[in-house]
Amino acid sequence: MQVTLRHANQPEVSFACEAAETVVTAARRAAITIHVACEQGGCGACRARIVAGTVHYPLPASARWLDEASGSDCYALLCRAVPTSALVIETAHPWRHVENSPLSRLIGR
Amino acid sequence: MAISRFSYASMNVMDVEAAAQHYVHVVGLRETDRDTDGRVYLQAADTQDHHCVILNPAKTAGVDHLGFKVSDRADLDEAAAAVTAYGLPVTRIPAGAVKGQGEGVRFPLPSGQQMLLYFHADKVGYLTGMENPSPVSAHSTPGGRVTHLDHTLISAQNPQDDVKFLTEVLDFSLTEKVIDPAGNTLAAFLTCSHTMHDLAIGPGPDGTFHHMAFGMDSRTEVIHGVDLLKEKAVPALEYGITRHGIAGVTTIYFHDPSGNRNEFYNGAYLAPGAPGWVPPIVWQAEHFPRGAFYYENAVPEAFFAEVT
Repeated sequence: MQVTLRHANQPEVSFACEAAETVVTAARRAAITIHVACEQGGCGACRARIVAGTVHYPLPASARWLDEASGSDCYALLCRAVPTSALVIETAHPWRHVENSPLSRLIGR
Repeated sequence: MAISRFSYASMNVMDVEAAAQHYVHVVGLRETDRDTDGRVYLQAADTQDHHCVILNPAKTAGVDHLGFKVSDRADLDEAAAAVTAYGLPVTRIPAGAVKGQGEGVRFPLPSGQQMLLYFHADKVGYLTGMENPSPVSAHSTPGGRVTHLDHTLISAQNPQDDVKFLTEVLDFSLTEKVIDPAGNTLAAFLTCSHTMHDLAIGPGPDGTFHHMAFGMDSRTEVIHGVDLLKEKAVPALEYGITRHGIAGVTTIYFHDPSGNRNEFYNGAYLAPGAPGWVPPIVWQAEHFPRGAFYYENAVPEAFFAEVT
């Protein structure tokens, strides 16, 4: 699945997400670090607005952050969300690009 | 009124079995009981009562209620009357409604988190037993060498409202506070026992849980705890191992499998919980980064924003 991240003042990025892979894990493979804290679906640090597409949760995610959708807005916890379609997401925090140095490529970060 | 200690945190978790594994094999608690509603009860090595953590099956992470022990059964009536007079709703909790525990009174803080006061707890004894025990019980757990549940930090939009209630109605003592240039309280550290904080209030959304801290015997044990967290690949170790400027304690934070924040820590100073005996240390907001994280001299904004 294709995942596209958007954030104010940052050029949008896209990367591929494997089946059963979370958005955060797929982003890491693409050398993009998404802001997370607990990485356990609880704290809401990675909460982001879904602009287009759908996700599912193989592991638990705290309903507190998912039930607060207002109007047509829909939110996801990126540390636990696995895309079920192409996704466009607006993140609450900027992401970081891991420098694409030979060493970074070698160690996969 | 005599609230004698912070005794337990009743936590909401999305996966009870994963949480129980974490609190036994990472934190170092022992499972003491289960109930028919699927709750798991756990206790630290050096506390005799039935539980210091309760895990409730839930859809959302966070705290269900915080348990505080009073030193006399009659304190429950006094507390219920005082809290009602203050204008907060009090609910009487029958004995056994929380397993291993006598009757209690439950009410919300001004910031919304629920407190439960009780007198009786069933005893499970110390980890190494009650007759001719080993003096190193915390070394007998598979997880961190935790001796006891020490304190909790909750979040409030207006921490001063909680401070006023806790000091004026429940006889907590304020040991340290962080103030903004206008003198408003940004964070507060309160004691009802013998240590500098049983309950702390930080800036953040009402009704939310920031962390609970598990005490260890020495800084060395905290280092051992960090090794354990790394070896078990427990995610998101924020800052640390570091020191807080406030209380000077050695600390590391991590998360349970539902994202509730835990702390291993050592070294708080002693402070009598009698109201007004120890005038509070005051931190101006501009010095708060040093107070929060002494080595880094910085507070990541997310540290207070990310709560369950």
